[in-house]
Amino acid sequence: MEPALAGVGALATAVAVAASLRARTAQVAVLAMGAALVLSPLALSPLPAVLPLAFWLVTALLATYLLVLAERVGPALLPPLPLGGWAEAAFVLVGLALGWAVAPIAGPGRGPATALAAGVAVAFAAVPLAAFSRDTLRTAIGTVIFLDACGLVAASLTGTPGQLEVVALALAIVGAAAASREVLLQDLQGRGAVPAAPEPRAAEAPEPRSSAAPEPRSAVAPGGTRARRGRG
Amino acid sequence: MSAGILVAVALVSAGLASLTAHRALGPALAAVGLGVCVVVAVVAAPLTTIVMGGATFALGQHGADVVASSAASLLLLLGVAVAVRSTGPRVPAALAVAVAALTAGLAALNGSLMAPPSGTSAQFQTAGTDGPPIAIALVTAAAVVLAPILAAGTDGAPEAAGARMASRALRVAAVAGGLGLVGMAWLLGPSGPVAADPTGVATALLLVAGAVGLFLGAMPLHTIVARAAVSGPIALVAARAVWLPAAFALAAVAWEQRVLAPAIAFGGVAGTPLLGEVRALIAVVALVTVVGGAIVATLHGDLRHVLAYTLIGDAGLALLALATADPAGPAAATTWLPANAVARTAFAAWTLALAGAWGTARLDELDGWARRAPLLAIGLLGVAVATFGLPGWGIFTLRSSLTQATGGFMGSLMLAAAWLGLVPFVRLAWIGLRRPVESDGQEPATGPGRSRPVRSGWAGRVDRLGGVQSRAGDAARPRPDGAGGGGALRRAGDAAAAAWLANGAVIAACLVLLAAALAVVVSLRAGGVLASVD
Repeated sequence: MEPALAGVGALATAVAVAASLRARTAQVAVLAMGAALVLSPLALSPLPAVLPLAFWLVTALLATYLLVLAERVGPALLPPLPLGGWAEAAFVLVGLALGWAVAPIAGPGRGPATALAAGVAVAFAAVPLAAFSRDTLRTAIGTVIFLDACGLVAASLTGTPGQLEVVALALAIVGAAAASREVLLQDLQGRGAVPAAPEPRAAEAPEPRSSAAPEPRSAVAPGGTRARRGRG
Repeated sequence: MSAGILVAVALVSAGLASLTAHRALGPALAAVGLGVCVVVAVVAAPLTTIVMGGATFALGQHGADVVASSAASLLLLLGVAVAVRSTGPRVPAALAVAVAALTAGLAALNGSLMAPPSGTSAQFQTAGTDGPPIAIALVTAAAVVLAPILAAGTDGAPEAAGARMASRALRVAAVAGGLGLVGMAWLLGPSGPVAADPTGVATALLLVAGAVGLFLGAMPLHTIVARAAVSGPIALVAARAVWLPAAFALAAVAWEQRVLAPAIAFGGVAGTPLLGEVRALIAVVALVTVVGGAIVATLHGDLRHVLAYTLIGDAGLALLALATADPAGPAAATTWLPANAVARTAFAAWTLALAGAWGTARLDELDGWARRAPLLAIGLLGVAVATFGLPGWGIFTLRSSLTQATGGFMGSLMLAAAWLGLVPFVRLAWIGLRRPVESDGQEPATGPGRSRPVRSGWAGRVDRLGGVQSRAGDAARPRPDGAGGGGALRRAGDAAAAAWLANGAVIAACLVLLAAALAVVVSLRAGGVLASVD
């Protein structure tokens, strides 16, 4: 049962990552990234223990929430990917198949092949986003899922990670999400789209990065306080 | 004593420093609180256990020294930063996060560093093999958290360029951590190290060495680390560019001892040409980094760049531990890395104190600093001695063992290159000893370090020892540490604020001396630790 579940988990993780790539709105991209983070432990066989799994789930949700907070400040629409989105999503599925195919090369006595398949698929999505994307939110998503991909590939070699390994990787992922949120806010402040924290009332009206983007609903100051912003 | 108490003390003291940083009594109160912290950290040296995730891990005396020394030196640095009012409100908290992550990361090595595994080349064991990846992940977590704070400086000014640099620094830390995790897993199976062919071993070594080089800023991958180091507050630079890299490299060395060496022996691939070529490549990168870092640090005209490229030069020596097949290299690195980090932290504290007292980091404006701040001059001497040691000292022997472990001509070359790092210290001392002359040939009546002391009598003499001068002439000059000092400079006309600034500079100078003394002690004790490792 568990290998089948791991296969489904790997496929679901890849589909979630592909959906994040294909998404045109920032909210869908972040939520799909969160789904990929939540689903990725299912690609392991056997599953991690309950306690580290619960910790992973909480930190994955926290990382998603942090990026959702940041995403609300910026424009709702994401700039298109260089190849249009469908091609990038197809690469993810190619990565899934490739990971599955090369798993036997690692030799006997290694971890689950499903983890390698999911890891390669996520890496195929993460590397272009983290390395080549000019959009800060896409870069943030790429950075976060790159760590997830590395964790999956490592698990495919060493087997299901221990408790502390899961906790440490989860901390790295949530730390990357928190830092990405901060970078995103700095970027928006630098563009004048978000008022600076010390003087929120003195800021100009926000300017969306894209003319097609609707007005954001609220602003989150770097200190954590949320300031309502006008629509006009 | 549990390491949890040490971490709690670090967090509470950092919180206290953060809360009082912008009040009139802030510098003095924070310095006193941090001093207590340092005493606790040093007294708590016999640290034997740490509890993580419900499990208790044993730490040897070496691990206890590492944890206590790292906490003490970072807290000393924070004390200097608070004393010269160069920190923003987020810096102490971020530094506390770094201390906590560092402590947890080193503890996660689970005794791997205390001694090489018995029968390094013949036995295979799972004990301790999971420590290095955990340490890598924890150090990566701390590094990514520090990235945006480093790039943004301390005044919170939003800049698109700062955000871009923060994004790059964040990605560098994440990519290095991810590569390190995959590289370490390459030779590990569910039941411990696996037999691998030469290609597998070479791939794993390249991945881990690449991760170390990227994280530490080895040339030619040094650009982003160097930019982040010169843009952020110096107190955080030490955490990101000294201690976290040291912990990252320590984890890599532990992996080399626990996983790579057994895998090589098990697979019978020792001495294969491919492995030798990979090691030679790593050694060349290490040599270029050591020499390049020393040259740039010597030639640069900014104190912050001198610090940054000095630290980048250390990355080359850290890489050497992975470039040698001799077990003496990694064994020496396990002790040299933390001992060197303590000395480099003291150097960062000295940089911060000098730049804070003078209001500038430009070396051409620091002529004669040693004449006006004898305490800082003694501090620099102590830092140099602690960094390089004297013949017979532990750190002196460790540096020689580490560089010569590569063997042959390359070993001798590395040993000579490692001593190039002394040249920037000589230049700084020369700048401090020469007489300042203005363009008209007269000594400046005012200016950095030359204008009247804030107070008269004995208090004024104490001020001069710390390099204190009136800030009135420096009000228009930007602070060297990026930000945070602007508010203090604007209050330069206020007598009370000026008096507290004066006290802060003196306190900073005293803390620099304390940091240098700690570094010298660690430098001396490193020999004993090496003996126990052997």
